[in-house]
Amino acid sequence: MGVLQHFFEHDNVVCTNVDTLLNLSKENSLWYLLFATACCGIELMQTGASRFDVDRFGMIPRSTPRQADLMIVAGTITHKMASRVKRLYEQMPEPKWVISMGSCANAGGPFCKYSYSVLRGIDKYIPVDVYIPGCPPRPEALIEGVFKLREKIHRETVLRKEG
Amino acid sequence: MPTLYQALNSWGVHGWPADVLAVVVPCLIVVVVVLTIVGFSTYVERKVAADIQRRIGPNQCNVGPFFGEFARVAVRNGASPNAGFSGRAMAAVCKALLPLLNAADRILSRLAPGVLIFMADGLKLILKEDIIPDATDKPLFRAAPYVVLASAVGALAVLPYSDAWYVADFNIGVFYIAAITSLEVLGILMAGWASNNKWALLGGMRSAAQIVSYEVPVGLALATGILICGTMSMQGMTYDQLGLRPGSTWYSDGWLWQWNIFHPAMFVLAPVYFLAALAECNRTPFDIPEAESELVSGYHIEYSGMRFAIFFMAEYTMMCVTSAIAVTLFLGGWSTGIGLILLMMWIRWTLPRFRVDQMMTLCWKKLIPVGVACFLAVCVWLIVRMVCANRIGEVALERTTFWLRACFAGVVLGWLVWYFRRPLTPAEQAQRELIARPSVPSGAPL
Ligand code: SF4
Repeated sequence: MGVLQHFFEHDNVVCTNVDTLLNLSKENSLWYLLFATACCGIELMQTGASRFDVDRFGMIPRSTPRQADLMIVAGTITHKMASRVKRLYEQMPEPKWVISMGSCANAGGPFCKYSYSVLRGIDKYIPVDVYIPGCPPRPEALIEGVFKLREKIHRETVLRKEG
Repeated sequence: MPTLYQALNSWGVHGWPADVLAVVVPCLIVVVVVLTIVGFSTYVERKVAADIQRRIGPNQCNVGPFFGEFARVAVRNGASPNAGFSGRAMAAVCKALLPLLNAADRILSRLAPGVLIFMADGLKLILKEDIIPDATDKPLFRAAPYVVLASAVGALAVLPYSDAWYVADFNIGVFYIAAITSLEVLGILMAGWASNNKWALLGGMRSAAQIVSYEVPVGLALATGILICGTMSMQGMTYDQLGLRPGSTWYSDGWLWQWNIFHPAMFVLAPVYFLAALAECNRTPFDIPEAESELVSGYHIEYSGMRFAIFFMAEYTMMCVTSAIAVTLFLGGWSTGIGLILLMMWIRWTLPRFRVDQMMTLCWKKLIPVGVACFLAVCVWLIVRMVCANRIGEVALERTTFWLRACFAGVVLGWLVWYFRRPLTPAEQAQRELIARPSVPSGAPL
């Protein structure tokens, strides 16, 4: 492709092919939905606040699902809540991603065994891209999860058929 | 733009093609340049916010390795056996310039870390799905963002960028601006109504109430400016403040004290205009139409992707427009008003939001009476001036008003100097020290 060749040595690139350019734009502006249900939500807020500052990676919270790219399911999801989560997910425009944050969202967490009301993992309702273990995961863990998601986005292709 | 028209004529383009080109080309240039500035100002806003909240802000999308990578790729391509002449020539040039390009990378990344973030945001928003919910009023829903953007961009046509650079210079420039910027409310109402969403509707209605109310103080400030400058054309106002009139003297020739803000009435009206302009742009502390805690995100709640991006651009274009008007009206004109935009950002990230009733009280009970008082005072002053001119003659009057203005400007500037150099009280001292303390490095162990 001549000069338009793909180079991805550090985290910053502009000489690239179109696919990578689109992926870069998507992964550098992951706007997340302001949505949290339980104690993990406090860690989510902390991740957005000054000390951990996810705005460094271009992530800002949006209050409406229509403008969000990323849903961070932070906290316990009850059976009653699950349908609401699903609706919020469906209201987000494509392309969209989901991070399941904390044991509750992954698998029911501390309520896994005896609870009558808690959903055992949000992936029963919506597709999850990255799972972050922990009760609650520290903000560093969430940022690590975001990086994993960015790697995943970077491998996506919209213009070419795979293989 | 008349200059362009003459240039076209001299290149042998006459008649209607010249007419069309002389209008279309400047419009395109202005729109492209201003929308780039708008994109850049979203980056600046995020950096300002980060600084105020003691964080780092966007720092991932750098100009960083761009030039260096480009050169390295070119060198590698030039070295390959099947490279043509141009490829080898490019490689040689890039090889010679490599240290320079690397330095440019480093300097740009250091100066503006993360500056490409607004391009990433823009590209992403274009790529997103454009959702138009079933229950919406579809034609209105589709049209609303364009109406809002058109009203903001339309005002760009009469802004004076310099004495040669402007798209149009109407003799009703100020009137045109007041008319076209208030069209914004139509688009916002359309968006709120068409979304068929109660929060969007509430946001739209609040916005309508707010913009219609704050049109009044803005109108009063503009009217007073018109009275003082004696013209409605934006270029004319600038000329008037620069003292570039026939028969101008050394003391009326483009000095600081010729700025309208050093006219006592305009000095009072400047903050009135600025507050009203903030409210017209729906910026904090007047962002009640978009209050997240009450209305999710107001009238653009149902908008995704490109259409949301257009709303977003319209908001920032509006900021640029109102700052430019403020600069033309008060600060001598021909300036982009970047300082005022920064002031708006500073206010946004410092102050909390008003309640609806507080906002209305501020407008109807404080700003409008002050505006009316200033307007009447200027009317009376103009009559007094006319009478005096008959008594003592135009030249003597000019000299007297010059000294009055210069004294006022001296007092204001002197007060500013004193204010910034005043002895601090112990409480202020303590606060300064608190602010100056180095912030905690991000991610440091608790
Ligand atoms: S995983 Fe732990 S911290 Fe997170 S919501 Fe569940 S119980 Fe709370």
